[in-house]
Amino acid sequence: MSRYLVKRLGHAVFVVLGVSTVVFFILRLSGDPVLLMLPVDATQADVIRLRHALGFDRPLYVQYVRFMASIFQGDAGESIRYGQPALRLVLERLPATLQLASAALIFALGVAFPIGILSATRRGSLIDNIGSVVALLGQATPVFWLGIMFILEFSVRLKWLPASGYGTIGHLVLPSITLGLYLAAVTTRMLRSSMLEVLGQDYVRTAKAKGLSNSAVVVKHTLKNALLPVITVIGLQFAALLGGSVVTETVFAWPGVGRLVIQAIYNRDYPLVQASVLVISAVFVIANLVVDLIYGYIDPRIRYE
Amino acid sequence: MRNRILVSMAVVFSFAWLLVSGTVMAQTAPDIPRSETLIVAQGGDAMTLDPQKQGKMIDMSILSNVFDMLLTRDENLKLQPSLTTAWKTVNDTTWQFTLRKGVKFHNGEPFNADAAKFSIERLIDPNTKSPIVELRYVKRVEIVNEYTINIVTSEPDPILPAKLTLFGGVMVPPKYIKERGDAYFAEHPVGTGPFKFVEWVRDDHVTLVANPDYWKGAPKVKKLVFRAIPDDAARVAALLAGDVDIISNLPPDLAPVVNMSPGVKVLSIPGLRAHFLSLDSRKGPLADKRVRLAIASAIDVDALIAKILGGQAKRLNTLVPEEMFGFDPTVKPVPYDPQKAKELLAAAGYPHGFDIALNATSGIYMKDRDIALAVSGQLAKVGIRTKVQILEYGTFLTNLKADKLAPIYFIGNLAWTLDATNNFQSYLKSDRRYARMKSAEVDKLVDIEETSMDPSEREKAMFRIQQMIRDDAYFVGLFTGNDLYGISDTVKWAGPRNQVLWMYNAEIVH
Amino acid sequence: MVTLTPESGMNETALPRLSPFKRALRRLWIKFVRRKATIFAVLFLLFIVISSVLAPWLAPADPNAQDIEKRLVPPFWAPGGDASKVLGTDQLGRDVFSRILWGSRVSLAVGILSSALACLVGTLLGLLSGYFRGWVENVIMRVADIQLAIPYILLAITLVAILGPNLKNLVLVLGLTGWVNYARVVRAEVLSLREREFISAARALGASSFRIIHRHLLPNILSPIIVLSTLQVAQFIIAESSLSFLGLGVPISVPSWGGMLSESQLYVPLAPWMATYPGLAILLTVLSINLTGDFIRDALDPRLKL
Repeated sequence: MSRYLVKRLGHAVFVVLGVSTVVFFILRLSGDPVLLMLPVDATQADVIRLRHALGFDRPLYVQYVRFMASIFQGDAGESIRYGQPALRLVLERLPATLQLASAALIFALGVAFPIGILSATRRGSLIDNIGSVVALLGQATPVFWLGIMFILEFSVRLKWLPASGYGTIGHLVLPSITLGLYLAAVTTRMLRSSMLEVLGQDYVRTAKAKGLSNSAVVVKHTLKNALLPVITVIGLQFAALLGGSVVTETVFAWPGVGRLVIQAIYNRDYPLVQASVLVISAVFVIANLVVDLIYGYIDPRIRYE
Repeated sequence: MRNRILVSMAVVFSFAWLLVSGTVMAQTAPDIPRSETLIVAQGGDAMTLDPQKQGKMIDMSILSNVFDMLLTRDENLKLQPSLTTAWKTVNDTTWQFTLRKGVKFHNGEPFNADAAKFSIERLIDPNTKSPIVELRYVKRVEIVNEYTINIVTSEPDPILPAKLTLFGGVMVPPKYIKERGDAYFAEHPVGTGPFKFVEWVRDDHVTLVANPDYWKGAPKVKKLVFRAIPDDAARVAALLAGDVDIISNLPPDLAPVVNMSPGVKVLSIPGLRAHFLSLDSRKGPLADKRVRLAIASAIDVDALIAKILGGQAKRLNTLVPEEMFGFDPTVKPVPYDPQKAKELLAAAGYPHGFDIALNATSGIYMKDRDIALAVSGQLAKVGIRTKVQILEYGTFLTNLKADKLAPIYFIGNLAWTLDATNNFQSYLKSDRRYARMKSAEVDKLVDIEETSMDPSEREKAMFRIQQMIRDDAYFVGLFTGNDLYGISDTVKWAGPRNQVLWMYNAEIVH
Repeated sequence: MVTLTPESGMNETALPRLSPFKRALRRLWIKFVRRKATIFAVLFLLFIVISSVLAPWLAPADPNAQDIEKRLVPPFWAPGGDASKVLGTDQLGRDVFSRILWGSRVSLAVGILSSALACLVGTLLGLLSGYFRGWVENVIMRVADIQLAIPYILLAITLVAILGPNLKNLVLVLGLTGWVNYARVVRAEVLSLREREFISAARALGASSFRIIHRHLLPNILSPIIVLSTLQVAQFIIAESSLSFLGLGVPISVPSWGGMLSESQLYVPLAPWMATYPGLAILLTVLSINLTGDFIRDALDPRLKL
């Protein structure tokens, strides 16, 4: 186990460096940050001056070596638009993002597990149909539309909750439901189909034939064996949420990582994009590692080598 | 198994509870009730609170309440004294400014010639990496006495005082910055302005409180909060819900929603950003002046303004809004005349029109996307088949720089110096960054208006330029869009002429 | 537990003489007619496909024809509606109904092609990494990690900056960002399956890797793959709009459902029909794809009773 972890740590370093390298070059092909920083009525001399001050006139390999060196020193340069250490800017946003993502996840699992299990065990029943409708709405409703509708209804008309912003639990309710609905839909559908799959397996039928009560069969055999793909997808989705959810954050003015990253991309704030991708890649590596470890717990036959 | 699920659920929930309960932030602002607080929502947050390292109106709007500039503009956009009380030219390359006495920064540091010298020299220092480029000709600042400075330029700069109004003229505290460092200053700004900085939660809000010792007298509002709500519809919703008192950057399409709602109204102020089409006159069909004039006559700008912009815009004749120094009121736009356009096309050898591409951005300039589409629809009626291509803004600018944009593109340009020279700067003279025309006469005229210290000579050159732009249709002037605000009935505020949300005069009525 | 390959465990005795392919088809048909919802779903999808092909003849108006005098006209039954504008007009006076008809082309193409691409690549890589493990798994999964961490907007911006915006590149970008889901899900399933007895038995009997993957693993992982693809179709139809809106997708002159939705964003309070009908089109299409997907899954999995 510990050997496995050490090995995965090595892989993690590889991934983080790989991502950094890929993004470094992609960014430089994507456009010029200096043009975006300056007004259109700046002169050519102004452009050259600022580009030099920011170091973007140095040869690409020099920039790359400097960037890699800065990573190993535990920083990722200074954001050209915010004038602050890029890594700090990203890490500052993580709590808000973590909050929203966790709340969305809790909402999603709270909805998805009961509905998913019940619709698989009582196929064709009312709850199965309700579950299908919820799942459908969750996956096909555009987030911006849902968010605006929530705001108009619960903030403007009923005045129950703040329209947007960050701070109290009240602020968290609407965005987490908006964000969680898609995840709920995904999880419900994965869980239902995967449980149906397992329910059709011989050993479950055998267990049923042996006279085990329905719910015991469900919990003991089916759920656990059905979890593999579900956990994988939840892991991926949750990690994606931690990387920021631009639309929800924008509609609800939530100060999370997503808005920071998208602005950094639009501004071609190279150091800031690089730093955020660094953090996001670390999040994915951890999430995927955790998921891989859970596999072993769910299905002890899976070995780690 | 069931137990284990229960246990893990419990763990998840308590973890979540910790997270959620941690969100109730300590309120560091002094205890001022909501009824005494003015909350303004903009479409974004400042990126830095260092006024010399930013170049966006959103940032400037917040910072103009904390900092003062050397000069300012009144409600008629006329230059007015602020931290400087008088200014004059000493010679072609030297301007002299007399500074206001008795002004102190929020930390008690005095404002004087040292501070002014420090501020300007900090701005032009390459190490500051400032996006503010207007002081490009400033060489150095000389201290004449404690309250007088000379600004020496490398070339004549006829509009230096105008450049010291907004971004260029912000005064910062030298001692504070030297002691605390740039990074600290950028998150804990100290200025001489009507409000003092309290706290900043990035991408959420900036809190300011009234500065009772402001040199003009304390502002009427006790506490001022700027919030960042990027989504237009959500910003309107926040106003309707009473979460905020003023919203800026209200899209014209949502103005009716605000007007229909009780307790709030729309504030519409003529804007300064010139929106126009650039026509590449160097090659292709557009090299023919008749074709360019055909395009100009095929576009029904009044219809665009009435329909697409909800009437919230003013016709723009060429590149220069009427508020600018150098605006020529005698130059009238090419009238809308589709019949004439067809005749011009036929005369130029395109009786059946031609195909051409048009570039625009999406969500950057006022209704950019819809304007581009509507223009394309109007051009189609005279046989000019345009292929509209929307470009992401960064790509748009990169292509503009690389001279890879389509023969027609739509762009907006804000000259905050209120001098037409900034409207001309990058586009006209053939050696400039974005020039797509060649005219020896225009080149000469630009040299005159940029370097002459005689205002009437500059004006004459600018008038001539506008006439040429109109007659040769190098550009098609479209409109200046109004700045729209949604404002609660509980707030008395006239709104700014220059987009900068200076809240000194705002008042809450009970 | 009796170890059987999943295909052989069926009561197929009724159809012994037919070839496996024909047998499968026959089975599919029987199951199909038994489920009415699926019939509707397939019919609806057919309808959408046909109407997108016939859009030039079915649409009452040119989808790009503007009439700014008649902008934001409500659907014909609402007060102020216009009989010639069945579902109303948008902010430029374009006919919403015609745009929905035309818009199905891009939306279906992008949704289906890009998730098909993602599915193909992802499933293949997932199978390989789960089955062979070792360095194959390491390389594939680390590339997946790298892929996940790169924001797709950045990828889209760069690709478009180099290659220009068009349908092909849009499918490429979405496919590139979507494959990881399949790869990780498939790998997880295979990790578990390869340790089961029936796989070891097959291996002991000398079956080739290709045969094991093809005959034993693939059929057993179809269920999550199909669910993922149907989920992704909806996701990509909406993602298309945000990319196209930025100028990173299909040209602005090509209507799409997602594009209509994102254009409607400002008009949700004033002109709800601009969002409602393209939204409904997406919803119904996704519903049909889900139902069809569920059906195919069930049909291919002989163990499930219908």
